Amino acid sequence: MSGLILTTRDSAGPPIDMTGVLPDRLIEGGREALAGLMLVRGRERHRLDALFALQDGGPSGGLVLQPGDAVLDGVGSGMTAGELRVEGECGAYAGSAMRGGVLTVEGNCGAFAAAGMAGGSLRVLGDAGDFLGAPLAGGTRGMSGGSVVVMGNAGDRVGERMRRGLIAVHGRVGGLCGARMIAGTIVVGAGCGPGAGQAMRRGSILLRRAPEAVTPGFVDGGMNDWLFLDLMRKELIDGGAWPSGFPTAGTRARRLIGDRTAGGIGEVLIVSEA
Amino acid sequence: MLTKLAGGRIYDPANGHDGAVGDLFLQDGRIVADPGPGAAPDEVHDLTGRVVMAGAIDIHSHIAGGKVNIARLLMAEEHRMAAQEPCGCVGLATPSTHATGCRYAQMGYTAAFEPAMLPSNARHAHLEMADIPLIDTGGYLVLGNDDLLLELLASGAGEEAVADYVGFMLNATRSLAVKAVNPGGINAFKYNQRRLDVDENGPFHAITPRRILTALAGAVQRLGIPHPLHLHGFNLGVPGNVEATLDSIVAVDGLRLHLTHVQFHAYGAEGDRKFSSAAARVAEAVNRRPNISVDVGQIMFGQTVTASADTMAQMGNAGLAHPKKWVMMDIECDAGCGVVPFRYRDKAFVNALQWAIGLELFLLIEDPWRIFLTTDHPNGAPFTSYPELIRLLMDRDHRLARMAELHPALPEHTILGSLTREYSLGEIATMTRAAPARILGLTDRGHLGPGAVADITVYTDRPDRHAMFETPDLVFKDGRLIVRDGVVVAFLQGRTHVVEPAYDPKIESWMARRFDERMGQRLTHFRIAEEEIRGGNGLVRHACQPGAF
Repeated sequence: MSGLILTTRDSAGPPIDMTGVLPDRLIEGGREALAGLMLVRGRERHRLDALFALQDGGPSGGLVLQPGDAVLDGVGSGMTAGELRVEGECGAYAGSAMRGGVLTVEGNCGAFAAAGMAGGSLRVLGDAGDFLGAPLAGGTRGMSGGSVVVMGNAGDRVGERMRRGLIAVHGRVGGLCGARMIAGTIVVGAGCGPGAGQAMRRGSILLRRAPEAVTPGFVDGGMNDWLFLDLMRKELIDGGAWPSGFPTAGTRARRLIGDRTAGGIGEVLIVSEA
Repeated sequence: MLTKLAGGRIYDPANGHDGAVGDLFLQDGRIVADPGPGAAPDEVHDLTGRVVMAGAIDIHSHIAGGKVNIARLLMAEEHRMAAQEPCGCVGLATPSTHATGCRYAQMGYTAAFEPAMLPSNARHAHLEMADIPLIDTGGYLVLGNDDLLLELLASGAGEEAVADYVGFMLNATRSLAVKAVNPGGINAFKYNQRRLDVDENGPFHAITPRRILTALAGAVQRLGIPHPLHLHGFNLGVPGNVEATLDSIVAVDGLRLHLTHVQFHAYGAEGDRKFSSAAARVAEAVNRRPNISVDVGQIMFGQTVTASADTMAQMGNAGLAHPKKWVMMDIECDAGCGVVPFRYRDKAFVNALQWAIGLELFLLIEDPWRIFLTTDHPNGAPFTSYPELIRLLMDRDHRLARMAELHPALPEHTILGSLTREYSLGEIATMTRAAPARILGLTDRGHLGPGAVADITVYTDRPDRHAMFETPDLVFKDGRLIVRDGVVVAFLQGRTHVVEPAYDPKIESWMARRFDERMGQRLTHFRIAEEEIRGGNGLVRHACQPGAF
C-alpha cells in the first residue's frame, strides 16, 4: 500500500488541529477516509483535502506532512501504529497521548510534545519546547511508555511526573527537568537548568556534567562503578539516544540521590570518563 | 409583536392552573392578558396536547466563581476536546460558561443561581455569570466565616450592627441572598481544627456556630431579604450529622431557614455499617415547621467533581478523590475552597444509600413549595441529570427497577421500596418553577400570569418522563424562542437578580479601616458598580420587606 504526502495549501492563517490525521486511519479507511476528515483551523472547520494537497508517496502505509510555514498542532496525537514523518516544524502536542508507531519531526516542535505518551517512538531532529513527555492538562502522570529522542535542545519541565519510558535530549534542557518524576529515564547531553529532579520519587536522570545548581534535597552518593551503564549504553546507542558528548566506554558515574524532601530514591547520575 | 401559544395544557401552580387547556399571549417579552377576539397575533404556536410550564429555575447550582474555575482547571481532561467543538460546549461536571447556558436552556431552564459567591470573588463570579448565555443568574453571598463578621460578633455588637454589615455586603457584592457555609467551621479550619460542634467556641474569636447562625438568620429577617438564610450545615457527609441538622432547625427558633443539599446532612450512624438514613427524621422536622425549606442535593451515579467553600469537609474527603487529585485553598479573610473529583458508584453501599436518602427526602417531605429539585451541581451530579431525577420521582416502577440494580444490601437499609408516592406534573411544576421563584422573591418569574416575564417551556407529554424533560419542544426566554426540539436556535443574554436592602452607612467607616488593615483591596474597590454587571443593562432588583417575614 502506498503512503500519502500531505502538503499545506495555505501557510498563512491560524494553527491547524491535526488530531485524527494518523497513519492508522489511512491503513483502515484508505485515502478517502483521510481526505474527508474534518479539521479545525481557528474557528472554522474544513475538510482535510481543502487544507492539504494529497499525493501518493512516502513510506508504505505511512504519512508525510509538509507543513510549509503553517503551524500544525497535535500531529500524531493518539497515534497507535504506522509511520508519520513531518518534513518541517510542528506546533504543540506533537505525539501527545501516542501509543504506538513512529513519529519523526525533521524540524522543531512546540510545547507538550509526547505529553501523556504511552508507547511508540518520537524522534525530533530540531528542538522541543516545554513539557516534553509531561502530563496532559488534568492528567496525574506524564509519559508512561515509549521513547523520545530530541537531537536539539528542549525547554522546561522535560519528563515532569514521568512514569516510564525514555527521553533523550542531545542538547540542553531547561529548568525542572524530571520534576515530580515517578520513574523512567531521562538522558541530557549538554547540561540542564536549575531544579533537576525536584520532588522526584524514583527514576534516573543521566547528565554529563553536574547541574548548575544541585537541587536541594539531593544527597551525594559518591562516585562508583555502575555495571548497568554498559548495558544501557549499548541499548541507547542502538536507538540513537546516547548523546555524542557521553563517554563511549566505562561505567563510572557520580550518583546524587533524591529528592529526599519528597521521600524519593531517584537518582541523578553524572556520567564520567572511565 | 404579539405571540399566541394556543391550546396547551397549562401547569401554573402559582395561579392555580393544573393542566387546564388554555391560551397564552406574549408581548414585548412579557405574558399579557387575552387581548380579545379583535387582536391578530403575529405568530401562533399550536400547542394542542402539549404541556406548558414556566421556565424552570434552579436555586442551587455552582455555575460561576472561584471554585468552579478551579474545578475546570483541575478537571482539564474534560476540556481537552474543546478545539473539536467549535461552539465551546465542553465539560460535563465542569461545563464551560457557554455549555452551562446552552444545556440549561435545552432542558427548559431559564434561570440558575450560584449559591456560593465569596465576597472577595464576587466581581469575578459576576463576570463569569454574565458570560453564561440564555439564562438568568444571581449569586448568594457566603458569610459566616468572614473575619469581619466574626469580629463584630465577638465584640458583642448588636443585631442592628450585624444587619448593617450584611446589608452593606449584599449591596456591595450585588447578591441576591445570604448563604452560610459551615458557619465558624471554615474559620476554625484555618487554625488547624478539623471539627467544630454547634456549641463549641471557635479557636480565635471564641464564638459558637450557633451564635453565627442565629445572628445571620436574624439579620436576613431584619433586612427583609426574600430568600431565607441559605444554610450549608454542619459536618457535611459525616455519619450521624443529622443531630447537627436538627439542632440548626431548632437554633433559628422560628426564623426562616433554607437547608441546602440536605441529603448530605441527613445521615445517621446506626446499623451494622454505622451509616444509616435519617431522612425520615429530617422530613418529619421539616413537615412540622413551615419556616424551614430544603433543597435536596440528590446524588446520581457517575463521575463528577465536588466543589465547596467548606474546606473542613473537603479536606476530610480528599482521600476519596477519584481521579486522585484535589485542591484546597484559603480565600482572603472570607472562607475557603476545596475541590475534590469524585465518582459515585452504584455498587458501593455508601453511594447507593446516599442516592436512596435523597429520594426518601423528596418523597417524605410533603409540601412541594418547600422542597427543591437540585443535585447541588456538580457536587451530587451534573445538572444534566435532572430529567432522570424527575423520572425517578414520577415513576415508581422505574425507581424500583433502578433500586434493584444497586448494592444488594440497600433494600434492608432504606424504606424507599415502600414509598408509593409519585410526583404529579403539577408538583414538578411547583418544585422547579413556582416555588423557587417565590422563595427567591422573583415575583415576575416562575408563573404564567399576565405581567410575568415570558420565560416558558413547552413539552410533549410522554410516559417516559426522562425523555420528556430532557428535550422540551419549545423554550421561550423573554418572549423569544431560544430552543426548538432541544436545539438552541437563538442566543440572548439573561439578567442578574439582586437585592438592595437598606442599611445604616455608618458601618462603612469601621469596615474601611478593617479593609485597609487586612484585605487585598480597599473598600471602595471592593464595591461592585452597577455598570460592571452586564455592562449596566442587566440588573433586576427585587424588593426587600423589613419585618415582613
